[in-house]
Amino acid sequence: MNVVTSSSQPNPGVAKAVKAADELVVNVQGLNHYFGEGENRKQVLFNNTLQVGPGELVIMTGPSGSGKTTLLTLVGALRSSQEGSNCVLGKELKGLGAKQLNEVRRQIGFIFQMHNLFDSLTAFENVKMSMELHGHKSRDMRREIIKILSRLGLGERIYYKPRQLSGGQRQRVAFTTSLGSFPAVSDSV
Amino acid sequence: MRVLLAWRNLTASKKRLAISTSGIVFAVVLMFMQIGFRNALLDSSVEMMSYLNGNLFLISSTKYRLLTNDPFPLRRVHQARGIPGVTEAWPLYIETEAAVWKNPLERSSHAIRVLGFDPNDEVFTLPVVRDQQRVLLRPDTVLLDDRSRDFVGIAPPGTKTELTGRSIEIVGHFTLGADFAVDGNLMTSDRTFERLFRNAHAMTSRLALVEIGVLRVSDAERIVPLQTELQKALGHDVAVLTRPEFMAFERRYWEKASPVGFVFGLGTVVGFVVGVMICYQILFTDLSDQLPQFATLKAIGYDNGFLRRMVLVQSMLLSIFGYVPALGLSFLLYKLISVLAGLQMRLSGSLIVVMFCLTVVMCVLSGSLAVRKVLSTDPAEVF
Ligand SMILES: Nc1ncnc2c1ncn2[C@@H]1O[C@H](COP(=O)(O)OP(=O)(O)OP(=O)(O)O)[C@@H](O)[C@H]1O
Ligand SMILES: [Mg+2]
Repeated sequence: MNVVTSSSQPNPGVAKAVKAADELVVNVQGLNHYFGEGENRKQVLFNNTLQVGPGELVIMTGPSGSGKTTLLTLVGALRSSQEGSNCVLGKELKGLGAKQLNEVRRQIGFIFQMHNLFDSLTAFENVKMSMELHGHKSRDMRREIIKILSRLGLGERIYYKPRQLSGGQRQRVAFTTSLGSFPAVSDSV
Repeated sequence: MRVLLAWRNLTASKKRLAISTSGIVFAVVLMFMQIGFRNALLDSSVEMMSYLNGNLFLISSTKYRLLTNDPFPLRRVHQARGIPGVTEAWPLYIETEAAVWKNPLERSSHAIRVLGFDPNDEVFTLPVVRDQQRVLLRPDTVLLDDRSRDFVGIAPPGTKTELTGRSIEIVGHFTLGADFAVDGNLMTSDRTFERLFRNAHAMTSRLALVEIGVLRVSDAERIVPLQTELQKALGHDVAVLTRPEFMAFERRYWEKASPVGFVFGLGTVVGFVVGVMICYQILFTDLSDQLPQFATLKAIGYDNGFLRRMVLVQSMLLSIFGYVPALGLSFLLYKLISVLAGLQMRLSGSLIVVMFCLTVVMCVLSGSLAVRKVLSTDPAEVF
């Protein structure tokens, strides 16, 4: 599994190495992960290390089944960490309960491969659904959502339902839903 | 937002909404019918009593329901009249077992209830009865209940027929109604009653045995103390009842002792259970179809509480959608049954409220069962 990092800073690889741990958005050290129980127990992640600083765009590649999604679900607080250290936004996720993981998730934006928009809600309402979690004021939120959707070329389709949008347009709506929080974690976009 | 989502989930597909709604309507109408029959039974069983012109009533203390003959001595009525505070005491004679009525239109025979009283007494409050009762002073005449069942034969006044083998003339009509146990009613004078039902071998007059004593008191405020006084004076072969006690006594029989109350109670429960199953199916399908979306909501940080509340709102909306047409339909069916079966199906305010609450409980219960699947989705599954 390769991790390619792009950053606004010159020479990211070096900069990353010297970066202090508390500046990192993601700091994964010696992470192991297993699926299954007993005889079926199978290790998927082997002593993984990943460090991501603020403002960095990280692209992860690897063969199918190599554990990309598994790593993302761990970093995204969607799964409990089993072994090693998984520090996200300055918080150790290993050992957190379902409720605390949920708290962490609110601070993370996700774009899912399946966009998972509610068919019964308009583009605007779908975005609002995720924005509301972050306690924005209703009026600001409305203006903000319209601004972002317009900038993504969906200005005329704000009140369309997902079914009336093209695949790409839906993907952009899904992207907007993830902007309620940063940084974004995206799987196979 | 959860209200909006719940609303949109329900209304997104008109066709689906129509199917869901008709499921709920079916269950609610079923419950309405069962409760309606049950109430009609109870109401009709006390209907005759509600037209009695008394504040206190005497019945045999061993009586367990009105329908069964269980008379007490006329002496007690006279005794009651002598107690200060009692202004009137009238005997009412009832025969349900020995009365055989020949349908004057078809000549077929049927059991009927005969109410006998002195036409000079004001035993009934019904104005039509008051107006016509003096005609009964003529021997061998009866008033016929025009809401008796059809097979009794609602012949016009002037028609002659037979009652318990005796020739009799219908001289007028009144309106009381059949119930589950009585197919029709006749009113007659005490003298005709005596001629009809006197036991040839008995030494005493049939009029010595009274079914109900109808008492009027001078001071409506003093009913309860007077009741105690009467009970003491008359002894224990009669029970002295106030009007509410008298009605409750008969209702209780039908509600508790007869299988009829139980059957319709069971029917209501069945309606409720069917409703829960239909409602659960609707909500479960709806939620399952959107499982990825709900998992996504969990993945971005919505907690189970949000999902629970959303499903709660959705079930309540569903109950309102279902209840309104069900109420309308039940109203029509009640009307129809009243006309066709002669049963008084009343859609009272309290029934409307109770049924609405039952519908909401039904939907919320199914909602809380259906939501479990959503709650158990793993947010990690959405990636
Ligand atoms: N819930 C699970 N239970 C058991 N095994 C799992 C589970 N999820 C993933 N795995 C296994 O873990 C390994 C890594 O899976 P993962 O989904 O992380 O791969 P990936 O790198 O995202 O692949 P792809 O490029 O195909 O999406 C695979 O062998 C998979 O079979
Ligand atoms: Mg994957």
